Amino acid sequence: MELSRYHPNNLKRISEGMINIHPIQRGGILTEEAKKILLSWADGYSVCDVCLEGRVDLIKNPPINQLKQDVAEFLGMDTARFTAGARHAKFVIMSAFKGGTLVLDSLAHYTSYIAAELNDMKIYEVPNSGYPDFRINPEGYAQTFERVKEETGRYPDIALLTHVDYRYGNLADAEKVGRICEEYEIPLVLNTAYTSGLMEINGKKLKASFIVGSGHKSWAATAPIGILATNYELADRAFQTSKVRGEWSGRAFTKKELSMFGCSPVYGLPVITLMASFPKVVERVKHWDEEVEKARWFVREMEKIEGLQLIGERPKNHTLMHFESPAFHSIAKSHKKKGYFLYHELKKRGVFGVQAGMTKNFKVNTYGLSWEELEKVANAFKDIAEKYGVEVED
Amino acid sequence: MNFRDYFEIPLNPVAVIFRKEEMDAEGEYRFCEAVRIVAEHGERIVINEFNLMCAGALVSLGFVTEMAEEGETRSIVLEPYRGQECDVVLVVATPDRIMRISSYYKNLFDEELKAQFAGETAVCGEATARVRDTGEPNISFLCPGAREIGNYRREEVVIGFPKDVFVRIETAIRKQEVKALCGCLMDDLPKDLIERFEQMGFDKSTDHFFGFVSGKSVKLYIFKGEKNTLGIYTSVKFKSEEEAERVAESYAGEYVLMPRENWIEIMKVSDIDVFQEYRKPDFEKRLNSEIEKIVEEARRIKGLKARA
Repeated sequence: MELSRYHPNNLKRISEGMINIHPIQRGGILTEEAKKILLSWADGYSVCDVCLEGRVDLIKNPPINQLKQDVAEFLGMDTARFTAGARHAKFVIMSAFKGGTLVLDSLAHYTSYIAAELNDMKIYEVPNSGYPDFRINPEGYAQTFERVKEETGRYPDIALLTHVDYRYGNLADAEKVGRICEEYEIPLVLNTAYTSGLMEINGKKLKASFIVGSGHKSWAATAPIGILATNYELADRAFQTSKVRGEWSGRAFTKKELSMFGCSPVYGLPVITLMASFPKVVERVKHWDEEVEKARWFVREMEKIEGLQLIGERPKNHTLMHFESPAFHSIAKSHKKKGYFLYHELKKRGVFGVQAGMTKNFKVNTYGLSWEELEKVANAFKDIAEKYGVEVED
Repeated sequence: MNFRDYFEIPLNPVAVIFRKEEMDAEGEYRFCEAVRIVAEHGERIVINEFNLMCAGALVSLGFVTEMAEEGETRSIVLEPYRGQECDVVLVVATPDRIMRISSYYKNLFDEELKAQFAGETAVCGEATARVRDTGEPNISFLCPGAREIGNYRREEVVIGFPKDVFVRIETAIRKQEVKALCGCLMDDLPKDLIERFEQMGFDKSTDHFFGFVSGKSVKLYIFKGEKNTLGIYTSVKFKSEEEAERVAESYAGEYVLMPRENWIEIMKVSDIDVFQEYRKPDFEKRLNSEIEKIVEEARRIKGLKARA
């Protein structure tokens, strides 16, 4: 073993000092408040110092129990839990519908499928509109519910909608889907991994039975932390407590929640950074319109590069965007660094986050960039295009 | 990371060292049996003409000729491979691991791994002597001796590498030369269909294909359903959203125009059922004809802005 590779000098983050536009990073950038408490809560199970109740979400000091309720209120729901990530939150929900039928959008994150698979669920997909918008039509949910009824004899047990998908950054019409689900009396899971914490979400208004969020993607917290909010009607079902008994010792763990493995694994920095950032998060969602405005400006600037085009819905309603770039791809074909040239050229210009090797199409996220930073990023792309003889409009 | 860890192989790779001098040897072994012991227990085993208990191995490894005359080999040392000088490196693995190794090998050397085997003198001949002689790796599916006496499990096979090839693979692993491909299956399009479009100059994107035709970017999207029709798209950019909308409203041609802010997406669903027809010889010709028409129409639509 060459242990020197783990020396702090060798652990410098590659993106340090650069503008990071990686699609999954922008909403997870820590607030100054969260950065201030990093060291004092960095030890392993740091929040468990005075855990008297036996569950992390019940700890009163630091006020995690209160945070749980405040987060639920913020999302327009009754109660919440912190999970090992949005994927774990989905697993928790689906474990309450084990062996049932799930309808989900065809742009859902892979973890939605895997959470269902782990729980032996049969899945049906709501199709998307295909090129170039890849939109999910809310009516597709009603049609798919009927299809499920036709094929299985009963309506599905649960539906899932990805509020903003990770592939195109399309904002789905959650309200319409919520209304359809309400009419059919099918609980709706709204996966807000790219929305809650960035834009205002009210589960009650959207008729969602469950809201899944990602602390590290959108709530300015360190990984891994997810959020699962629900209403009291379904809380008992989702957060069932343990009933097991040791057959010899008689030991029992009746307070531990089963699908959280007893106590959700966010015992240190994840929950503390989420807490420290929470006031800023509550404030920042009010400024979402400005973020959308900046994103649309960025699209216009990027599309000045010949052949570069936004894929997905127009106008843009989210800061996660997917561009198709045949001109960069043509350059990559004859460049000695192949598809990696774009990544390297951007790095040289202080921009990080476009996946290395990607030139045909790439995703970026502009959330939280200042106008100045945004301009720097757009100029970096334009500069690269011009360097390789691709036309850029004035 | 070394070869064994990278491919997650339970047993140690075995270094095979041929010697022209006779060495002291203990015990009695079949060659295949000795290889399996070294691979599992990490022992060092020396084999010579007298403790090698298999006539086939004596011949295939060159201890004796087929005419029972003295051969070139006087001893063979088998050791767990630790980077030492050797002639051949043997790896005992299961078919799923061989699959991963072969994929890696193809990526690294741009050639396929081969398996030449007859089920006779297998570990000694097919995986060792042949590899040493040809300088190329080979996969052996073992022989009755190895299966019945050599203690190989039912699912195990043996692959032999010339030392330099094995070293090259380990170097590539260490330098991460062969990049992992994306693990997510984005669609279920047949591989040869994708290749067909690629031959025509279209690259696969996340959900669709794109390419340049007469300087215009053209996209192809397959609508899955009972008939897998093909959507052909190109786009025209205008100065403003209003201009794009005016043009789309005034258009009376055969294509579908979709204003998208200051762009118009021009689209046609072709009659071609892609899954049925992509293997037909005239597929490319028919498709190109449709594409040329849409590109021409895009140019005409661009000109409409003046009148709109």
